[in-house]
Amino acid sequence: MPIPCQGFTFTWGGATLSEVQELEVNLQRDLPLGRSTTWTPNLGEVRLLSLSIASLPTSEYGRRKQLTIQAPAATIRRYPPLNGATAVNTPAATLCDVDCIYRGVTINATANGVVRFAHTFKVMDTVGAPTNP
Amino acid sequence: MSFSTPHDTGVSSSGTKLTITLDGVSATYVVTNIVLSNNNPGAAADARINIGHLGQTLGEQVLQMDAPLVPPAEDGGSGRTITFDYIGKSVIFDGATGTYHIQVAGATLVGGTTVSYHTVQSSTLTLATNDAIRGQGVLTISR
Repeated sequence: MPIPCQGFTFTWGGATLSEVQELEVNLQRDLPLGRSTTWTPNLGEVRLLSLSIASLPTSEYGRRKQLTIQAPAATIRRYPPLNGATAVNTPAATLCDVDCIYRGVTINATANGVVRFAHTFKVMDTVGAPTNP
Repeated sequence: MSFSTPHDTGVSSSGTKLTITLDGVSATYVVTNIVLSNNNPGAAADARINIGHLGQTLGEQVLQMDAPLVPPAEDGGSGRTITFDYIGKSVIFDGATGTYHIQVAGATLVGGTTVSYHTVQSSTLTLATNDAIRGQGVLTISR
């Protein structure tokens, strides 16, 4: 079932992140290091392209907080109809719920355009999953 | 209410007259056709920036905003042009600037002698066998 890319909510330590245009979640886990069979320093990365730096001031650099990204349930139309119906209900989905460190922002400004902010988060722990030992 | 057409009485006081000043030299043309065209340059697709985002709900309109810069007025950038056909042998050089004034039955339709401003976007003059000398001019009007 497709998930429409609208109505997303983004929270960082409970604060709402607004005007996010693009989202890239990479939860690919690296191979374990050393003698450990599970530990790895690299659990993934989340990148948000936003029109805003609200809720993400420079004082947040290096902070570790919970980053949650959710897609709402929705009703969309699909064609051709499925079993005679064009209305299809899509379920709510949690796209990302992780503990992250806010690594920083890349600011991109172009003439005759708007400023865009690329925020990068390093995943430290997957909330609800076994802790990274 | 009817008006005389430009072709009928182009230079009389009762018909439609187009007077343009080109680099300080004023002339009234025997026009056969005038088209006033207005296009909002701000409505062009590339004049707006898409600021829609993932937080917008399903079915909402795409958020857009005007680009910070506006297109230049030259070469039609203002979106307002006057295209006119005339009979005569006046050569209108492109790039010339000045004022324009269109009158219908003695009353001003658009333009004036001081505040109006235009740039000649393009022009043609055709000399053909068994015909009058005809020309066409396209003026870009400033906003």
